[in-house]
Amino acid sequence: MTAPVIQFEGVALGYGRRVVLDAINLTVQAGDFLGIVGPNGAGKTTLLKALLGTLAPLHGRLTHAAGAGLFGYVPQRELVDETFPLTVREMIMMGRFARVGLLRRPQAADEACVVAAADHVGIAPLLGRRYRTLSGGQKQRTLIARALAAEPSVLVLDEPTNGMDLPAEKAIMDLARHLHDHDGLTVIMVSHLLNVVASYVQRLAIVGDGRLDVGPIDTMLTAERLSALYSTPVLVERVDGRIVVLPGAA
Amino acid sequence: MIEFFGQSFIVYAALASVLAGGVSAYLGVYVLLRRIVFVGIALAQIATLGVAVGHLLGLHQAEAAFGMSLVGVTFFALQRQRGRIPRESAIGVAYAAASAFTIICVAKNPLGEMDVLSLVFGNVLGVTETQLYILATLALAIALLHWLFYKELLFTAFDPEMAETMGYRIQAWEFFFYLVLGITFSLSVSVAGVLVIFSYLVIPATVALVLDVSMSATFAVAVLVAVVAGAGGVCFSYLWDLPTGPTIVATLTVILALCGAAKQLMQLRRASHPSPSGKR
Repeated sequence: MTAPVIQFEGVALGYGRRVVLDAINLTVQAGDFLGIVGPNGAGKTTLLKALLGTLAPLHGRLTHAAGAGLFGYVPQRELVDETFPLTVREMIMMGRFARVGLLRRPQAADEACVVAAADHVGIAPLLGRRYRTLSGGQKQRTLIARALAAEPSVLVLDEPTNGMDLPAEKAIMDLARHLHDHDGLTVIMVSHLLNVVASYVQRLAIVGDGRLDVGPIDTMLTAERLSALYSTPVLVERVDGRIVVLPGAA
Repeated sequence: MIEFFGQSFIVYAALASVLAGGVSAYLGVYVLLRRIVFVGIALAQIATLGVAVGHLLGLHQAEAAFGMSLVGVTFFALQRQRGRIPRESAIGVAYAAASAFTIICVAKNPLGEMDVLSLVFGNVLGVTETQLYILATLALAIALLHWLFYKELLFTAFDPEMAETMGYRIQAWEFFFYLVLGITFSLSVSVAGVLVIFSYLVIPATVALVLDVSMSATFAVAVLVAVVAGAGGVCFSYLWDLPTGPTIVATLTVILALCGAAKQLMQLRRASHPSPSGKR
């Protein structure tokens, strides 16, 4: 049994007096590949904030394993401000800032770390390019490289394949799997794309109706559960050993 | 032109304009990138109210402006943290109230309404040696700030969400930035006036973004534009007997228009003569 990196015990999350999610019990172990799915507005972002430690629980106990640089956070690509004339190198260097520390400047070792992170996700030749001139897939890789430059133990990806075509989507998901399988990173992925997440993650957390259910893919993705969650008929089939979720006939 | 340099008040005015402009333009890059331009003008107007209150009550103007700016900075920081009303509404209320109370203070001032113009456009020609030293100290302090906290100010402005996950106190950094903005306004508004300072805040940074230079060059270009327009505006106003504040703003606008046109021209030329490799 590996050590938990994040543990929710009877946690309620919300804003002010409004409870969004209640009675959350979730343990993320080192080496997990966890997917978080759910309908729009169900509370995925609220759960994500709590996971990242930027939203305190209303009640209950939320524990993060000690250690600086625990999280490598990859925000939604659409939320990244492209007004800033930043190069890919400058973007990735931001991932080093917390490790560099206050009143200090990045050193050669930080620069080497930036190059290594870019190389690891396959964008080393783009280091000198402006971030805003990149394709969607290249931007996503830049954001992942920025998260990796922080040398995290947990990689958190928020809707990493939004707005991508099929090859780009597959490439990003393969990269996430590679980072989990080969680099030993704990990966948490938030997405509304059930089929994409189901093909890659080991465990699934479903957010809906003010609560969180967690379990293995097979037990979580059932037609009954998803039909009730999305208030519409849903079919769950197996194709080539993979689970496929389809909207059913009304 | 030799006559221009022989007049100490004109040289002082040019130096004050360059210093206030350079500092405001530097901060303006962050203001534009943080998309808080209207927080900028509201804070500038609140600092102007401080000047007006100081004038009316016989207080030190810069100190009164700083006190009022502190109130404004705290208001915006708390409003972001706890506010239920949209930020735009809070900015609108702050700006309208500060403008109205400034006019009321000026109207009730025994020195009369002539001061309205000097408050709005400033009186850069009347700058004293002490004010010049204060502005120079401010410029040095801002340069030091850039040297020490560039990466923190950039990161917390660019991606506050990620910065927060990495342990940065976003609200503290935002308050710190607003405080620097408030101090700058309180020291420069009584010299150059709210319109000029607001123009310095917005136009040079816009020129830099229009030219699409690198991140570090964006700060340099913005400061350079402010320095050129500040010195040029004072020079033109002396040579052609024009009001100084509006001439500085007009010079900034002309520079922006020229740079915008040059950039368009370069893009058109590039489009009609693409490089053989097709690379950017």
